[in-house]
Amino acid sequence: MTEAAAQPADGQAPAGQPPLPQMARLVVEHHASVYRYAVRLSGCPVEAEDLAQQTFLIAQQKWHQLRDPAKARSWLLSIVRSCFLKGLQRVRPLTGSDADVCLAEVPAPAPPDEIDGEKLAAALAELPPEFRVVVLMFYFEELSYQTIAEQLGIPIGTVMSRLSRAKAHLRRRLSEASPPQPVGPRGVARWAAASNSYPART
Amino acid sequence: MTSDRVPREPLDACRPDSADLELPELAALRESLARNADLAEQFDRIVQFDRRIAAALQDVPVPTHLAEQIMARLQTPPDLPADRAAVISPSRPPQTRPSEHRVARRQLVKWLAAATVVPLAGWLGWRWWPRAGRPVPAHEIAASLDTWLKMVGTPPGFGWKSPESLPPGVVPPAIRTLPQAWRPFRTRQGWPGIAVELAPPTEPRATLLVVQGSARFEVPARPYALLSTSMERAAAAWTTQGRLFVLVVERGGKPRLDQLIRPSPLA
Repeated sequence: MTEAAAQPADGQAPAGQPPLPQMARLVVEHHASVYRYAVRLSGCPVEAEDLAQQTFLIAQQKWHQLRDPAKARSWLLSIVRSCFLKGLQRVRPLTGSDADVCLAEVPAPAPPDEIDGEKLAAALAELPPEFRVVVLMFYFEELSYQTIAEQLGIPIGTVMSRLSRAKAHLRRRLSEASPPQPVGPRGVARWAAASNSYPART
Repeated sequence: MTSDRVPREPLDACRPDSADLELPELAALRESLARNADLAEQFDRIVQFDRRIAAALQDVPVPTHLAEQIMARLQTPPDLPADRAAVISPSRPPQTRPSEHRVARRQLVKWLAAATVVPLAGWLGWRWWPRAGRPVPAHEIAASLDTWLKMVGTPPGFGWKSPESLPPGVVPPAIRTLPQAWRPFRTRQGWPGIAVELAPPTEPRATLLVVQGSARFEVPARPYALLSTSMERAAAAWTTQGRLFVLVVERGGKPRLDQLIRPSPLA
């Protein structure tokens, strides 16, 4: 993101909105990151395209909020996340607590040398959205646990707990020899059940 | 090893290649790491794992047309921009009493504009009416199948989920077999849908598409209306409570459809 791209409107564009060339530069430079993050959050390429379009529309409307051009990527990723979470709230405004989640005993990590993309996507899809968001904020947005807690409005302890559980789940799934299997008394079934009983906002 | 009574969570909360460990609240962890070689080794493995995950998460193919699509969407502002308005505004003050010739020309322009806009609006209304409940004939559903199948892809590919997590009630009682995998999708018309794979990986595909649209699907309320049939592919459709069910089978034609779909007792 160059400095010019994030300058406020120069008088040629409607008030509060960037000129199209600057917006185009923003799209060209960041659409891939935005789309990838949307795919990882939603697990669905079609939904991710919608999220990406929605993100840049909001970015165009709220252009004035971007104060530091160097932070354009993180600003856009936070919009993607916000859109995703709003969508979840519309779909299932349910309640629940962390206590419902099965935390398998954490083994000593045995990370595979090569990460299998399909296994990773499947393992992410198995996570309840609230856990997926935290783990993706950590890995994709590269945010600290304090920042994650601030942005989601949840205690630091909850963030650390979700992060640790989600990472344990990824480690376990990725270290399995075969692709993730759906059935299991403490595995996916529990995650899936939990994913239907979690508050969307956290 | 974690026998140093260090909880696992702070270890997992430190980002690789960051100064997180320098935070005052992690002083105890820092000391433990300095003291305990096993713990330090475990932490190092966590960091390596984190680096690999972070890199793998970036490995998502991006559609080539996406940037253009986004730009096209951004270039259709809801209101007429100020500079465009300036271009079409009159360059000289309007006449208070236009000549008859001028009035006639304006009338002609109005008529021409109306003649253009009305059919266009009609066509657009018809085109986007699915959201508002326009009837969708069976041949239109059949014509959409290629696109829908392309959008859902092939299990166990990206986005497909295990059958245990399938929301109840998606697979209708008329289907005789158990789902193998499922995934959500959205049709080009904007309707949300769920694709359910019914065939095990060793058999030719049998995919049930369940689409929830506000449109009125013109297929029977009980299984089923044949949409298409050939040696390569056959498709059948029916609708219940606003949901469209389309079963597409590769190979086997109508007999395979009949194997998978329980006939309606009233049929």
